[in-house]
Amino acid sequence: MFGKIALTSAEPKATAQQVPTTNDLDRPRRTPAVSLRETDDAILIDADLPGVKAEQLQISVNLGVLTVHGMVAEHGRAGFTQLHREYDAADFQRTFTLPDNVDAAAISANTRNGVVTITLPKVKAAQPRRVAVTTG
Amino acid sequence: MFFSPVGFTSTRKPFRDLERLVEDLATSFHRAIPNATTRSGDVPLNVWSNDQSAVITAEVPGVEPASIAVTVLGDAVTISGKRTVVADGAASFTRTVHLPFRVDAERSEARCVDGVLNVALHRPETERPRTIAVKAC
Repeated sequence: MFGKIALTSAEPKATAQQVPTTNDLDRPRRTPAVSLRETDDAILIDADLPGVKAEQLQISVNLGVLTVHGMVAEHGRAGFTQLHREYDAADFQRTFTLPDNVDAAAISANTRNGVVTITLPKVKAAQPRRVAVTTG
Repeated sequence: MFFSPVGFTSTRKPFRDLERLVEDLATSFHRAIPNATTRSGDVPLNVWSNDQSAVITAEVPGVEPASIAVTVLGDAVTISGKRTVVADGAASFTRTVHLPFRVDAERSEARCVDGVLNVALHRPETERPRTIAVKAC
């Protein structure tokens, strides 16, 4: 019974699990692992959010705090016994305090294979400028 | 055979049960703590089963589905792949799950969507439980 299973990246067959649409505070949460990188123009946050689709991802900025929230469909399975458990599927949430040099209005995000990359562009440093003096 | 206070004990392997207990502890010691997303290379797995099939799910963020290989030999399912870590290069992982029954690779499926791998393994008829009728004497 040896064989290799071909991998498909299509959507799983429809199951009874629905992706919830409300940000219910009673739902369990966990903190996603992140990596931070910095370039000359931006700060990049790579967050591990497996199972979160783009539509279920909420990224918001308020008063200098960036909040990343992702909802996942329930992973429980009716009609199955769990033999082994190493993780509990739960919604993700993490907040970041933004440094002063980030342009909050220009923040963008992209998701691929369950990793969300948030780009925080840096504000261009103010150049020194000479002020003209008028007389009279 | 000799009699012990708890019943018959085989003389061939008197420490068999103790050895099996130690082996179980050793193999389960390395399993990841639940609910931890680690970047060290190991991926957390959940395993489910019923009379018709077994399902293995794994959280594999940042892993291209094309880099994942799932192979089956008897009751052992091996999942391996490579995660592209942006700064440090690639981190590869391999996990093997030993199921309590054999599965059929030909009729099994694996899908990977949004960083979650879902392997549905078919349980052949010969590996399904059967009830034995109890006859009154």
